Amino acid sequence: MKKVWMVFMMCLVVLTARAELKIDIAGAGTNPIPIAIPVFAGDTGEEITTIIRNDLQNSGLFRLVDPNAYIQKINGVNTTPRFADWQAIKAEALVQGEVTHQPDGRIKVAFRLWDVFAGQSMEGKALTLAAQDKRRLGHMAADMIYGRITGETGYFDSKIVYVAETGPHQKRVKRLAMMDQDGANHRYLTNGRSMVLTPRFSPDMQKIAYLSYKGGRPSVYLMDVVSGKEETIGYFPGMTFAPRFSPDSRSLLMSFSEKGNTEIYLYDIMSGDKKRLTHHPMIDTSPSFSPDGNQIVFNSDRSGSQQLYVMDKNGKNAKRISLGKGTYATPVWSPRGDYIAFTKIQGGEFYIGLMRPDGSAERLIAKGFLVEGPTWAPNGRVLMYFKQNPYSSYGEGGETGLYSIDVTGRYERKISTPVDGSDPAWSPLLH
Amino acid sequence: MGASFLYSLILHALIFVLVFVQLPTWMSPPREKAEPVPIMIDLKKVEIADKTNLPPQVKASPAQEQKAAPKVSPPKPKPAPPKAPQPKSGQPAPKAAAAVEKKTTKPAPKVKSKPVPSAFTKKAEKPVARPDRPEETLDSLLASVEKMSKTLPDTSSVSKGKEHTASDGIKGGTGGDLSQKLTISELDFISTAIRKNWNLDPGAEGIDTMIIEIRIALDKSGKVYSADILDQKRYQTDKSFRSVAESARRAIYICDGQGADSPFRILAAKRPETYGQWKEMVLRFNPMDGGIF
Repeated sequence: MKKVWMVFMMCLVVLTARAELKIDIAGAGTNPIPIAIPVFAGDTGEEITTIIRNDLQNSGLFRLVDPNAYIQKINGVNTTPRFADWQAIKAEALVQGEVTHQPDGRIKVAFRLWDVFAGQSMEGKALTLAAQDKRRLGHMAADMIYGRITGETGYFDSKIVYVAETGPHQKRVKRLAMMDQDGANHRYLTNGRSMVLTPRFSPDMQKIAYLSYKGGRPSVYLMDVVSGKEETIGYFPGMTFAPRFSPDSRSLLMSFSEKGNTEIYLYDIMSGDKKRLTHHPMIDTSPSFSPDGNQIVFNSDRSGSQQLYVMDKNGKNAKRISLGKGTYATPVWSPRGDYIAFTKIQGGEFYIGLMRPDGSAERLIAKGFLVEGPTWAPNGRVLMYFKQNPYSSYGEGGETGLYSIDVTGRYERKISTPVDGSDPAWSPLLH
Repeated sequence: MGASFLYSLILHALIFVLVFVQLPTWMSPPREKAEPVPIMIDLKKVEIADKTNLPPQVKASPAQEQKAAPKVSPPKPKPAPPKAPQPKSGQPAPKAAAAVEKKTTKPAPKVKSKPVPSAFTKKAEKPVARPDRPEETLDSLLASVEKMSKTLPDTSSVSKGKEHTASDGIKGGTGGDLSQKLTISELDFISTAIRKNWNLDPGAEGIDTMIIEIRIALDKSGKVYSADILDQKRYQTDKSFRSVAESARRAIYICDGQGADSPFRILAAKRPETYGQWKEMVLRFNPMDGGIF
């Protein structure tokens, strides 16, 4: 009897069950997220707050709600937000924080991130660094806020090395320079007596590899980031250029040109061993490792024009991946592994573009008279490259500058440098 | 030999006669059949409602009957049981047949089709009299069973339902009770309102493979009192998914924070009788399907 009753009830439930109402929301906007960041409490609160605000705004993904519109006065991390006040000014996220000086001389930044409309805490952190690194504290806090809201790793606590250019067109002085990603702490690394090109950070941030014309012959050099000491790379009887580190920082990919033929070599920094990876009578250059170190993308004119190829780390199974019109150069694999950025020349124009590692989904995200040398931010979400203006018939113009752009191509921004800049390279995250 | 010749002659003659008699018939155009005469409908006289489903007639209490009756009864103010206009065929109208005919032939006579700007049709100026919604499960089940029995072709119950009406709905309409669906326009209205408030990072990793489902629960005023992201496993492990899912949930809360302009409040105000439909719903967010704008 019980069974019959149960079956009856089940039937009843099945019969009376109704389909749940479902509504599809297809597509979304890409407006920057309005964020409110009241000035952090503490002596250096204003300075840290300004760094955080600038980082987030410059990413293009956030819009700072005008501080003059704030209704509630927040002092430190212990003030409970009145969400209605922040909703009224249409802030979707709220950051409150404070900066305190520790007895040991270090600085501590504590902050809390709120989802205003959900009325929920999203993140709460405290960071401590030496007093001279207080700017880094701001960048690190901005990284955490960015990471929590976007789901991506931040990239603000990072550095840029680039070629600083001064002087007239015919007698250009090119020096290595390094700065924080926001342009602060700028300093020159070389004196400008020898022309330098294509600097690259090692993933462990210990060294910078670059091409220098020191002694009249172009060769790849290594510089120790801390000491500034330079050293040449092994002995190559010809010209070496286009260096790029392996993901473990132990090896260096580069091109070696001898008797009119250019091939790609892998150079072991510790042992000095070198291994030839390509064997082709045409030019093979601009190698870049995939983030897992198993593949290498490079460009070659073996098909008659400069195109992109991917091969195994041992140089085997080279396969062409660029199939569009025009020529391709300076490929660089994203740290995320999902894109390869490149320079493209087509119809007399230069472009910065992206494609999947198999060559699919090619799209161009920046264009100019001369745009070249893409480099990835540590999160693989943003790129930097340099742009040169055309020269006038009087020899004027030709200025070069650094620009950043996100992978969607929507947020392009000029990076401020004291002098003209080219050949940027983005460091990994410092923390 | 002679017999064979005779047979042949007769057969040929027969064929000749048949051809002579029948051929004109075959060659001529087919005789006028009862060609279907197109039925001309004067569209000017057809009232088109804003909603795609018909609102119901709801049983009225005796006190409300007086008010409700004039709105739904046919023009003739006879106190007799309200009859729909008789079809021209003049068929005898037993209860069941009459009920069916009313369903199919009556073109929404008394719903005043005032133009309404929103996606929602204004139902009535006065609040609709309806029994309190049963909250308990068993009661809900019983109510559902009762409702199901109404939808069965039990003509007597259908005709009974027409005797006393309180709403200004359409006789024979199926909307308005638990079986009623929201219209496409209404669903689209909510979808569009949320979409307008949904902002995300289009460069988020894996965004092209994401579909975020959020179950929301609303009270009768349309206030959102819970919004739960369904795929908790991915939410906990995939930062990119968490970010996009939170942006979707934020869009819901932003809509909810718009007070009287909240699409859910508007729904509650305009279609309170459908609360059973929308007190819980699943919103499916597909970032790439409709494009990033």
